[in-house]
Amino acid sequence: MFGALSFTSPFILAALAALPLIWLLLRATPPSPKQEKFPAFIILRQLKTAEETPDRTPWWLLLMRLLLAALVILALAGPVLNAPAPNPQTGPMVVIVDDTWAAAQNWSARQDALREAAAEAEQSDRQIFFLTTAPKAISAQIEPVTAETLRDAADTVLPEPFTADRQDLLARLSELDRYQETGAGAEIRWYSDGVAGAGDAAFAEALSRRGDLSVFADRTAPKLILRPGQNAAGDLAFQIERLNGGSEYNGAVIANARDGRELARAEFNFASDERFVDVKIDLPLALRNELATVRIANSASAGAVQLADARDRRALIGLVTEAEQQGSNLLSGNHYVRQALDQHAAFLQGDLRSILESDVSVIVLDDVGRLRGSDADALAAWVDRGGVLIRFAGPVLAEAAQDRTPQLTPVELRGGGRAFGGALTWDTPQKLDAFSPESPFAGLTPPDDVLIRRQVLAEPGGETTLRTWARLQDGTPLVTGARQGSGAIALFHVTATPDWSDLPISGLFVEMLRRLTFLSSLGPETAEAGADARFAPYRLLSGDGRLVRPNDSIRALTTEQLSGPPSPERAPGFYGPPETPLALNAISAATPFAPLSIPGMSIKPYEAEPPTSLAPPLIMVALMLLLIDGALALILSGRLSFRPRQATAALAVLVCAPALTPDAATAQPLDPEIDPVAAEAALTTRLAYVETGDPAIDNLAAQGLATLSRELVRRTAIEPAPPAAIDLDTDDLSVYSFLYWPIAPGAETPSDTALANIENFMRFGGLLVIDTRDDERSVGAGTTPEGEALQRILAQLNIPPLTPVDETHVLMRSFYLLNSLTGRMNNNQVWVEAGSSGSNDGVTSVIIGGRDWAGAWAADSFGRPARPMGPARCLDKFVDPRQCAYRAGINMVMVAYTGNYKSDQVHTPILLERLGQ
Amino acid sequence: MPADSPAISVRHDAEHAASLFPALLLEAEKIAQSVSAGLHGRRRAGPGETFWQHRPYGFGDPVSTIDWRQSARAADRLYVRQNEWEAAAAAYLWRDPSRSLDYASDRNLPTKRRRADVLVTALTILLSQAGERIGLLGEERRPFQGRSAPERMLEALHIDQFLDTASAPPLTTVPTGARIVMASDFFTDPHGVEKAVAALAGAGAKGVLLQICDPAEENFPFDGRVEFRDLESSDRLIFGQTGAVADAYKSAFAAHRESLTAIARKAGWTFIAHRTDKASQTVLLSLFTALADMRKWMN
Repeated sequence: MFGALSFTSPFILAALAALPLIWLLLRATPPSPKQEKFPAFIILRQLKTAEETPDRTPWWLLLMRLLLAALVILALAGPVLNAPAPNPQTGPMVVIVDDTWAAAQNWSARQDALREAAAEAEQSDRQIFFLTTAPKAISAQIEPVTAETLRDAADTVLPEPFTADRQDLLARLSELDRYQETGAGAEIRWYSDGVAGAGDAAFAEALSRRGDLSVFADRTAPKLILRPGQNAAGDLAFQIERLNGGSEYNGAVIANARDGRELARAEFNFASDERFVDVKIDLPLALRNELATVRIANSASAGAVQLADARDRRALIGLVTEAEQQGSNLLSGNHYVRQALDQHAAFLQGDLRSILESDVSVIVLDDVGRLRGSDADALAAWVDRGGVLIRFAGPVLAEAAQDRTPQLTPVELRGGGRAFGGALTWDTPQKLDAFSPESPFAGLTPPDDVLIRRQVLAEPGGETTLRTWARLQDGTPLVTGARQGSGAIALFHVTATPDWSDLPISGLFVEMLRRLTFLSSLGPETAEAGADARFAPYRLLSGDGRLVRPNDSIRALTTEQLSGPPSPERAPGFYGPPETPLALNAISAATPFAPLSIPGMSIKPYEAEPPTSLAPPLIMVALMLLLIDGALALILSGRLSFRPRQATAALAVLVCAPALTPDAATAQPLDPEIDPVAAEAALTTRLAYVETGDPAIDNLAAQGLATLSRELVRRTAIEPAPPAAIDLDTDDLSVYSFLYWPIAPGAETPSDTALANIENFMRFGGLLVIDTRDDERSVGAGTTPEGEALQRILAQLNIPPLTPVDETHVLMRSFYLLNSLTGRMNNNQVWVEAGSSGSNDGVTSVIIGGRDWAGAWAADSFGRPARPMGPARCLDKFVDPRQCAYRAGINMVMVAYTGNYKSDQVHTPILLERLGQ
Repeated sequence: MPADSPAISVRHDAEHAASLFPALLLEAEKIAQSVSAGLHGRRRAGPGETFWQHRPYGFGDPVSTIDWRQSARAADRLYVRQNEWEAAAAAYLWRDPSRSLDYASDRNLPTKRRRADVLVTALTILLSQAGERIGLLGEERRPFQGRSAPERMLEALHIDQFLDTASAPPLTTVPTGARIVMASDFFTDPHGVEKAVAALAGAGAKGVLLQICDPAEENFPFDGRVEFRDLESSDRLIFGQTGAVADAYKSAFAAHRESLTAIARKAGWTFIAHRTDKASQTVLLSLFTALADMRKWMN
């Protein structure tokens, strides 16, 4: 942890020599005296003659002050840990960078190192050589470069998706020797990728011979590579390997589709010192065929990416099995088909009907003779759609062919079969002939050790010859096939079991079946071509694991070239058509991956400890000592009395103070946010009216309630804020007490929510005033549109029993003594809740009338009435009818806010009368 | 507080002083009570209020002194009623008003000033109970007498004020036969004390020198480098090694006390030394007995 300690201005340390002087000085200066009041001064004066010897400063205080002085001197000298050592080298500088995928993960460290090297070399004007180890298509000449070039290289040189080829560079190192200066005086910096390669020791040795070699390697960054796993059947398996053991490490592998979607993510976990970990990605087949890349998350390196080859895509193959064939074994043809294609396909077993209904792309019929008519039609239709039907011959088919050729065969078959090499046969078992270039099997090499012992023969003829995809050496067909619609039918003239031939147990069988599955247009689009087909690069893998557009230098490659290890001519990436690319990976299962170690050479990390200035902590300590010294001086001179308890308390406060600062993260309130409108209404009293949607009615209601509010403020203790408009569906009614509801003609019945809202409002003590404003018009039995609307609404609403309001009702007594609830029109009854209904202490929760109270109250801001008043009859006949309307409104509001508090006022007239007597 | 306004300042000071009274008075009364048991009258007839004896009428007695009721009991005698002589002498007290008394070496100890105030007031209580007149040395006003004497004494003491110029007893004279109590630390030139005592003794006064000291003044418990500050003159003295001069200080202190004792002895007075860490009752008793002895001696 402690690196080199150096001083920025070491000459200040000379001041340490002055410490003994300070010692003497401090000793000579007595501490400041204690201060004491003393009345017996007359006696002290007599003592003054005695010689005064100064008190000595205590030794520990002296020591502390010396320490303080020493600390200050040290701090001023500027001690720095891990300060970069000045480079005394003047010879040429050779910079070697492993620009490989292994270096990509921590490439910025190389960039920094290159810039640093450029700066150093520029400062001392040294010759620079810049070499890279990744294989290049054209190796550059080794010649001196300018510092500017080296600095640019930090930005222009990018990691290549290749493994370092140090052997090649070693071979070219002798070019260095042409420059005389690069004798032993050269400084060689090898910024390695930390991965061992072939001949590292020799390389290092060759470098050391030419100068002072220092090797750098990553020490902290985890270096992971993703290898194709030992592919267990049916799984996407990968192996992650890390360069060094080290501590526990968790990560994830991400599978991406061709369009960049993340298909799956698999976590992996390295135990301590574990180097290998296997990861499986489970994907449904459909998604799996879309897979493009699998990469280790947060690992920017070509080594951490595996490209998915389209050839690895899997088809879904239906195996038609009869019930008794279940649990098949070595005697079952399906077993061999399954074995052959297990790596490349998924299988579905069942009867033909259910298989046809699924989305298989290939159906295998093993030795099926006759098909039922409906099945055959369905199968033919499926083949036309693009399915590939693979049939195998066998005794059943041969038997069926005796009568007539079964449906869905590519060629006419001859009945029975043909056997070779038996005891009674003349012919020897036949070998395969070369595949015709037109057949799907083009390019495959027929092996010598596959012998055919029996076959079903086709009727010879031109069609048979044309449709023969594979033939025996005697010209008889082994596989016949025909394109039909978008699909194809292929017939193996042998069984799928090794009874008739060696084909099912040969490697050729696998390839043949695979190629046949690719014929299906129902299955995954798959790349497959002949040996000499060339594929142009589509996307190439960069060293840091990105897919980039190829430049012109990469030529199209054949499949064979694509199967080789990557090289500058064969850059890793996707080749071929974008939908079905062939993949060339940077990392294969065989890529060596071991930590770089060079005998006798210490490898330095890129991440040097940053220089740490020690001056601030030293100054801090000195300051604290100064504080302590001050306190001690005060204590010693008696100006500060030291009480342990207080001192402890003060210390505790100092220590705890930071802990007591309030935490920014406070608990979040759990209650839901309150609607600001409701919150405001809850804070101030407001009258409310229901918005009808008719602007004229709404304006009048608003104006009326506003005027009533003004009158309330003027006359009573209720001081409402401006009235609120209510949407019954959404607003919270619980914050209002008085709700005026003018009924518009043809008003629609409110929603259930609104009705429930109103019922709640009435149940919990609100006063609902329903005004149909049709008083004059509703004469006799005639109903007005407003009345009809009200009837519709009330039919839905849970309204308590109603009774006409009479002169003894509390509404007539709650503030003014009234004889009627005067509105603009006063012909018909006003209805209130019947007193015996019992809820809300008998206080009415509803007033229903047609008197257009809002119209009676409404006045503009100048007090000019908005509507004329009709004739009204007040208790006091000299009072203006409009005043009567205000009084009625005030009484209603009073009832809404005070309930039956004033119901005893009902008796007031009698009491007044009695008092009068 | 606008202390510069004289009216407010005076009033504030008065209130402050008044607030000190009850506590101080209470303390003084408490210790006075513990001492007052055992007070005696003069045991002789004289002008007074308590009955002393009946005496046969003699020639020259005023007729008005005849106790007719007593005389009526006897057939042929006349009796004169005599009261006990209570002609009280005045006691003059002095308490050093200088700032040097405002000192206590420990927070648990009272200041010397406080102790002096308490003692003087307690003495006033005792003397006033005995019917004596109590005056304040150097004060112009008449001696106090009676029940209100302690309060008036306290008032006259100005317990909240300091007067640094008067650290030595005043040079005044008192009526003959007066008794003097001087309470101070006497940390002043002994000559000044001697002069004052001589002047008083010359007037026939007897008295007590009560030296009140703080334990620290007697023991000098200092060590190390100490700067001493005078309370009155704000002079400073630095001693590098106080521990070393402790012995010298003690002997000087003893010498100073000896000179005070000598002054008292010379005048026939009593010298009493008191330390603030000792009980005040003890010193009050000795003060009181000292005064009583003088009275005996005088009569």
